[in-house]
Amino acid sequence: MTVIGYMKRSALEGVLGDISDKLEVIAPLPSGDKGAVELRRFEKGAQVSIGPVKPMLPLKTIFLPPVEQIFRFSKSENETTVTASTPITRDRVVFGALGCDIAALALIDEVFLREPVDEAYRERRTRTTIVALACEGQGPECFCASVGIDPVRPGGADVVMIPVKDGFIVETITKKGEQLGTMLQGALRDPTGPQKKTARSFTSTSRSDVDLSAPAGGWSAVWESEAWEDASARCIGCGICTVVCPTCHCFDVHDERHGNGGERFRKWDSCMAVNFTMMAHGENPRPQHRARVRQRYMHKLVYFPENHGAVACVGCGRCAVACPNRTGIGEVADRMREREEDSNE
Amino acid sequence: MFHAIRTPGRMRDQLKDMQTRLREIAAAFLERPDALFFIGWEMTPDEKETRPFFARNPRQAQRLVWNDLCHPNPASYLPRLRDREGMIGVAVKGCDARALRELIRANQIERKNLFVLGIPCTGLVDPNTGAIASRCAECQYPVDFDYDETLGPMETPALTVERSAPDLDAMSLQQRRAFWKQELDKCIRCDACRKICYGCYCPECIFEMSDPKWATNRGDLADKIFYHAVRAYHLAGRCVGCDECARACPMGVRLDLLNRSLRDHAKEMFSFDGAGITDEKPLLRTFSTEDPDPFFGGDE
Ligand code: SF4
Ligand code: SF4
Ligand code: SF4
Ligand code: SF4
Repeated sequence: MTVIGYMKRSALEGVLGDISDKLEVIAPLPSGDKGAVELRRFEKGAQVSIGPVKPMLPLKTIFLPPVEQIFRFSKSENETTVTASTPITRDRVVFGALGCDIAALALIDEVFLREPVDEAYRERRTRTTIVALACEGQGPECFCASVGIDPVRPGGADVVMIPVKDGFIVETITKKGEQLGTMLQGALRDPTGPQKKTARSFTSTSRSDVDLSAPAGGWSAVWESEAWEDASARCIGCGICTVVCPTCHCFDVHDERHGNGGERFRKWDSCMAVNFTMMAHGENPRPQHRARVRQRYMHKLVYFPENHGAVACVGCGRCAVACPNRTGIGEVADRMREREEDSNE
Repeated sequence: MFHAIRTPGRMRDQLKDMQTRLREIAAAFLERPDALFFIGWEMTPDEKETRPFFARNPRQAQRLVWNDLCHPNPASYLPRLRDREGMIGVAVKGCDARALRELIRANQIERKNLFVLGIPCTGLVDPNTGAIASRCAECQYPVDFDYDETLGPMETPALTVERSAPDLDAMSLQQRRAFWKQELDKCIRCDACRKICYGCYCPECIFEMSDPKWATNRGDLADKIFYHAVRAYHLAGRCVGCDECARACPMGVRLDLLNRSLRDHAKEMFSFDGAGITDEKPLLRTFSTEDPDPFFGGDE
């Protein structure tokens, strides 16, 4: 970790504009009229919306797009042509990524970079530099500090920008980050003593008291618990919690034909959807709503840790914010531990 | 626990009294041996909104609330509970009662298995703006139903009927098309609007079918428009205007406006006065040779 300088907030858009001549730049940009932000391609002249709003759709969208073409095919009289799709055409940099979202990539890597490696995902990962925004806590829902994530200098970031008065202290962390650092040089100045001090003592308000630990006797003890009935009572099964979750990564593959051609693509899927487990022969091994709800939490809190050594939740709190019933994973874990009659979560 | 900005103090006391009564009535119902649960509302963990709550015993009934943030429609849970044996208690405000009427008439739930508590609703508040919710400002319907109990006389809300902006009918066709393209392009096809709707109770939705596959899964604008056109038309003459779809949407798509224009057109063209209000036949089950046909250039 090396401090490479101080950058004024007002210089940011200009710098991104210059970089966009060489790399594709992705940054949080305003979306709609209600103060929401969205991670999108930055074009010269755009206004970046760095903090204090978390994008509703997490960083995973940049690496695992909601819909992604795998190949196209077309058929003529006596020939069938298959054209593989290119995942990305240019090297990229993502600005203003948050600690929770970056930590989630390490979890998704566990799945997509293990053999057999997912080539499209790997290419996007290796060709993207990640510039984190040290996060002071974006909202009351944040609890990354409860799941062992450092919101200020998150592991997995190549560069970190730490907000100080009117600008940022920029630190490089990896080799990739150093390369990007050279592109920022023109906008950097030597930081003053107080600026360095603010950056050193920068802290986050992320909650550290959310408890995702297992109920007494372990999760297997609650497998058949009536508490799942309660946990699923008000859930409408919309799956928004899986859409906004930075660690959810399930997808389905579709073939669609248009005339004599067509395409194969993959698309996010959700364990909360009825036909997530629907088999071709018409059988659905997980037909009940409560079993689907249980699956979501068991995958995050039991199966993922068993297979990959970490809980598949990075404490972003988006599930609780986006759910029409404001049901968050922390609340469900609490209720399952209590398992007393008074639960209805 | 009242967060209304608009509801004046006098009315707030009234709401509090109603809440006390609601808890008493629900608790008494839950004493019955055949009672399964009572569906009402509780505060969300951050205390800023409410959410549906299934009280299972008299003690849990004390968590129920009634206030000007009780937006969720408890009746929308009933179709999936239709095969349960026992009595289900449900609290309904005006729009919920209209949904309930429609569900009963469509044989989605049997009246005899329900204990229905009617709530004379005086309009709810939008938790984001603190202003009266737009659908409530426009609500002019009495909540006519054979309730088991009520929290007071079920009168037509005495609210100023003001139409919330934007008025799509004032736009040109081009403007309207541009508006909807932009609006529907925000959609991420999570289908929350469908899952939360009281009226979306088909055992298998065409958007869930893979054989035959009616809709593509590509997720481009054409797919989104197709989804929304089908969803809206399937709700034409059945949408009760509870705005749950708009509330559930994580992307802020203005489904309330889409539904409102369908309700307007049903009224203008077929004099159909809204779902759950009269016992007229459902709009899409009637046909008359007198029906106007402006779309195909017929008489207006
Ligand atoms: S489970 Fe919820 S809090 Fe955890 S990472 Fe997913 S969306 Fe964020
Ligand atoms: S967002 Fe909420 S209601 Fe929707 S599936 Fe998830 S927990 Fe259920
Ligand atoms: S809830 Fe919103 S985002 Fe989801 S399908 Fe409906 S309109 Fe689209
Ligand atoms: S379409 Fe929307 S407003 Fe109409 S009944 Fe369904 S959820 Fe309510």
